[in-house]
Amino acid sequence: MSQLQKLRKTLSDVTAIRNALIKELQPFELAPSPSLVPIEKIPNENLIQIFDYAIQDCHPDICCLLLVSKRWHNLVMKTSSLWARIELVCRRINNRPTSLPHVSYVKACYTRSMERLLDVVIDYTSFLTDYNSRKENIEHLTSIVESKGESSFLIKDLWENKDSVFDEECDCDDCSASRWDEAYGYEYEYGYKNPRKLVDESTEARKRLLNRVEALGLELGTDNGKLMGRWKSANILIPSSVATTGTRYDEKEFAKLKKLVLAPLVGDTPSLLTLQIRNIHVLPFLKRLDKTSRMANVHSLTLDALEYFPSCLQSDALHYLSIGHVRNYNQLAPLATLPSLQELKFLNFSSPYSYYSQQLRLAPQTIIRLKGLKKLSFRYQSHLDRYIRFETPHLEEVHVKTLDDTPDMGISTSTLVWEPWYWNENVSRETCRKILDSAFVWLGLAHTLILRNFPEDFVLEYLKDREHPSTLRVIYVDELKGVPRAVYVAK
Amino acid sequence: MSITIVTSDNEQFCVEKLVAQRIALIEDMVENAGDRPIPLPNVTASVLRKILEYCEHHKNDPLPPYDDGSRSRTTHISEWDQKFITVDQEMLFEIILAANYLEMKPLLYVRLNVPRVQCLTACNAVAGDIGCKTVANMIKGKSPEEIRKLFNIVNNFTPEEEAQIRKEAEWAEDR
Repeated sequence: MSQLQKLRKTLSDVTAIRNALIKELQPFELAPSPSLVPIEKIPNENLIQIFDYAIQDCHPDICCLLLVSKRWHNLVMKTSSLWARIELVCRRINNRPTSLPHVSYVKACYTRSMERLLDVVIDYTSFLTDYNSRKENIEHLTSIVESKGESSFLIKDLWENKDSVFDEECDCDDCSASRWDEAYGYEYEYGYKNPRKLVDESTEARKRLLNRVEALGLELGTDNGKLMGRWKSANILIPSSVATTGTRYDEKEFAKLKKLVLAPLVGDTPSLLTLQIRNIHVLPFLKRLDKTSRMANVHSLTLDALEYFPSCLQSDALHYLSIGHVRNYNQLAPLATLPSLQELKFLNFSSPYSYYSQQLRLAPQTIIRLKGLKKLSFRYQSHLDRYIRFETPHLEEVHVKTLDDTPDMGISTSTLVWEPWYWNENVSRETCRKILDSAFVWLGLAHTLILRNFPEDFVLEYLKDREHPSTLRVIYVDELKGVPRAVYVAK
Repeated sequence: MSITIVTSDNEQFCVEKLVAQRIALIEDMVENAGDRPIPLPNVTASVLRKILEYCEHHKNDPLPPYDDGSRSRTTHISEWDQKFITVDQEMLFEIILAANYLEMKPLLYVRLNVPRVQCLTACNAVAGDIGCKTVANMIKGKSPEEIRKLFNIVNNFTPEEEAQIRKEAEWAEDR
């Protein structure tokens, strides 16, 4: 065969293939072209930004993005930054029972984040108590019944009489237990178990959740905690023995929960910069720390009480320290160690409850000298003045959020930010004036006063009768709606 | 002082320089253009009008600090911005695209060498960022099917591929 014939043959074959492909593509051309869909025009860079925002409140939702289209799947899979977070939070989604992510989620995050540093959130503060577990079952059943267009009155009525509902011994005709039996034909109709079995159900639900906690803990601390070396921030929040709903945990179960969460976390955390812990006295990975190594990089620490401030949690690099709930005398001792934090720039006290012990009331005053401190913040602390005196020569800003008049602590600052704990129409004008009066007592030699979250008209009226210290240069009102407005400027 | 901008559909806009300063691309062009109008071949008049409305409203805001990724980010959108971004989907995506093209990003402030902070409340959001937040808020809590329906996205997975991905993301049911 001559060269020409060979080329003709090749051309003919290629043409045939081309025609076949054109035919194959025809149906797709008739379908809506993805390029016509506005979101498909968005460049990857913006789409990644959108994904990042979309999973901020619930990172495990990243699985939904994977399943939308090939483009989204490929983009999510190859963007390691989207995986650089592990979020284990007890959640209720769509009225279904409280759950935790599957262990494969942790594996996926560790793997797909490549070598990136990770933000880790463990929030089990909504772990179920026995009561909450039963309540969830009832709510779930109610939603099923209501979705069928039927009345859920009987379920709710019976739930309110729950004492006899859960009385296993009771089998008489005229108590509510028999009414459950009567009512729950639902068991057969909707495939839901007889509500009288809710006791067993709730135990089972909590057992399943505990098993999940155990598996997740083991996965987080896999390979003797080797991957914890990539933790950049950790928020580890576990409930107190009384849940936020006011119901108690079973003691044994609660102890087990704490152990399962914390015991596997034994790895070193040299990359850890930010740590927040709640209701935790000892963290395995902090327990054997010495100041010079593993905690050396932590620059931000948030604690729910000073009693969780043992020496191992101190770091020369600490720039931000936030402490909540200073209520007991026993929590005062660690205050004495604060001045050792020479690098501390920002200290926040957050005591949202007015309760504090008699012992605290009588405690001797402690002087805290922090030479490097730039910003000091209090979230309702009307009692702290009694026992702390600050010596902070380089302080630039004091921020106070309060709900009443607040005794002066004699702290010298250049800027004072004053904010009501909340503001609504029920707060009397007298209270508002008291709050503002306190601000002027605290002012001292400050040259800037920022009144945050106060209505401008109220402030203007208040300022009419008020004399300003000669050192005050400017007052801003910041209604949090945009840019703060200067309402007073010294001449 | 003002400058003239010409959009892709040949509409001319006379814009205060302070407002245009919010837009990095224009900032760059102003230096070279002298008194000549600045062409924006990728932006239509209706979209530019929206972008300028945003810039005009925020022109006196303190410049946002450089986002080094360490600040906690939020999808909260202020009241005015919420009203501004309440537009149809087509316009929403056009705003994101235009903001991207015009480089309306915090990066601008790095380029301008603006020192960090010292502002009372920083308006960190730029129009494109608000657009992204808005789309993200539309996605939040929705199933893949609901997201596809919302944005008219074609499911181009084969059943086998979809099953495989569901298998890999087995936490989808337990999140």
